[in-house]
Amino acid sequence: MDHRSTDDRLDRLMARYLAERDAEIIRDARPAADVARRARPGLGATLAPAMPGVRSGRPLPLAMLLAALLAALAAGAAVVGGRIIESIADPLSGLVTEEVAPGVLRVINDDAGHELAALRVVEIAVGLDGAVWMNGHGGLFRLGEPGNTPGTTGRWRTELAVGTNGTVWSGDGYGLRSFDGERWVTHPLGIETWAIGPDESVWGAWPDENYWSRSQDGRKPPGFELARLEGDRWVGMDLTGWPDDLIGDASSPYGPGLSATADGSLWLFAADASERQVLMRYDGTTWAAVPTPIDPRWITDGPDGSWVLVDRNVGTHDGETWIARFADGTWSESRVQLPDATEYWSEDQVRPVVASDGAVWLRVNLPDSAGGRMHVFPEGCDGVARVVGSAWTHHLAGTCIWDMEPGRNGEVWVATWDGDMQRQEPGDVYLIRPDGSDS
Amino acid sequence: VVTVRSERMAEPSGTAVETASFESFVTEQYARLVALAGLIGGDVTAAEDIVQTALERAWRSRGSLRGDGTLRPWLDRIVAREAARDRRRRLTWLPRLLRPPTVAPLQPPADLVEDRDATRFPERAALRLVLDGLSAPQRAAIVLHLHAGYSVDETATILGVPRETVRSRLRVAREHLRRALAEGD
Repeated sequence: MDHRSTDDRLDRLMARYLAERDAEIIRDARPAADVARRARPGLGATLAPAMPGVRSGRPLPLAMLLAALLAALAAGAAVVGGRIIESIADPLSGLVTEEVAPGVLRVINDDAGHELAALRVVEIAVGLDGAVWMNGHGGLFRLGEPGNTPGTTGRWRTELAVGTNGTVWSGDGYGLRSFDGERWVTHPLGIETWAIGPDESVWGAWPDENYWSRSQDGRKPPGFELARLEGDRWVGMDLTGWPDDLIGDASSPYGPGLSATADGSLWLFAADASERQVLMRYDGTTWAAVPTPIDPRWITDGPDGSWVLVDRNVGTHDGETWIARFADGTWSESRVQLPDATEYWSEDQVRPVVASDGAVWLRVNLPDSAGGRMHVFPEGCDGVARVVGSAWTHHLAGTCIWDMEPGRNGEVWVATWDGDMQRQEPGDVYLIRPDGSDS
Repeated sequence: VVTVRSERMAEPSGTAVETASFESFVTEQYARLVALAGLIGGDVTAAEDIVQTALERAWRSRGSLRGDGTLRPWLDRIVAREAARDRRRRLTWLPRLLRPPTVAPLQPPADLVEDRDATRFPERAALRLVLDGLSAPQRAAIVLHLHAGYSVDETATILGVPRETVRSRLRVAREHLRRALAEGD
């Protein structure tokens, strides 16, 4: 028997064994319909709102509603169609909201006529001037300003960012756009993972072997690339000397991550071939690896110019979560105990944020009350946690989150999936005040 | 600094996979995906959790998928990677110490004693011993190529490794099996 026929025989043996094991596993698996119901919210989701506008599925206590009603009336608000409506004054004048829980406001529309739920907001950014920018199926717009940015309607995955000089950036695979406060400039070279670095430089990262994101002409993108936009072309960095096999894990669906902090630093999150997280920082001159006390999931600005790192494995170890802050040249860590078996999506696209009051906000996925098993849609979507020190409060229970963005007064803007969770498309926008608590 | 051709880097976004397609695919393929996770991860009891996790990942990143035609390899890849990741998590240093060595004396696993096809017992035991002893990346290559029906090139693409790496993993598995069968004769 020659070598090739021997190989064929061994392959057939392995294939037959695998087929038998496959049949055994399938025999013991749950019915597909049961799982499909968990797999997306449109199938069998049963979390109907307890009352109009209440998204958590938990009815508000009558006393709480009466108190809110009296407070609203005392503040000169109106009652329309059974909903409690108030106009928030400074700094967000013109917003029409309903208070669905203490401190948690569902933003219905603004004085420019934007109905936020209808616009299906996916991304939020807050400019240095406090202006709130939103992007979704309804296009890109500034809260309180009429009209949309031309050419932006309907983009699903358009990211928003604000540069260190206040320039607002919007971008996706179709192109990048920047707004300097007076006019929009379009850069035709699109990319899905990008960030604004020092001196408003634009950086992009392409994952390695991300074969399903090949361009529409069928050409596969190259291996991992980190590049800077210069004029009408991307200029790739020479990665010689970087950690071996960097971005090995970027062949995952999520690829590398880019982030910028207010001090002008540009950060690259990646993993090596051993799936060890690597954090690289660009200070405007050079890139260097930054040792961190925890496995970094995301870095963002903390109060007083500090950097805040959130553990890559938030809550996956019996609810234990670590947050690290870098200030005055040293890292300090704090531990937060979320409920046991709390699951947090370690590679979640919902990035943790730090509000101006220093609180850290995380999207969480708390255990199902029925047996503690983790579920996917919609049961796995369980709002956000506001973490201060080692304490945390829970908001928007049962709600799936698309994006969070801190405002300038401790509040946080949250874009969610459709509130009744019968669809996975974006729906409502909430504003959570720092003193609110519906835990 | 090297210049990268700009047109090569510019990637227009494609159409996100339709909700109905995803739902339909998951319903039809769920059992297969669980089996894939179980075969690669090696822990049947964890397979459903792996698939649920993978489905959530897939759903959240579906915007990067281009068309329905790539749905299966795309989802298989996510499941395969999640299963491999789960296997690595379980096989930390302590379980590794407790785990039987790969080249162990060929003893019949307890649950194979009642295998109804007695004539196939040594062969099946050898297969189980060999495949259980493979690392997660090795198992992934074997399962995707020999069981899921992907070509070597497709398997390499799904796993994000060079073609030669897949071939190497196949050679290693064959060699282990060859030895195990020889010892059982």
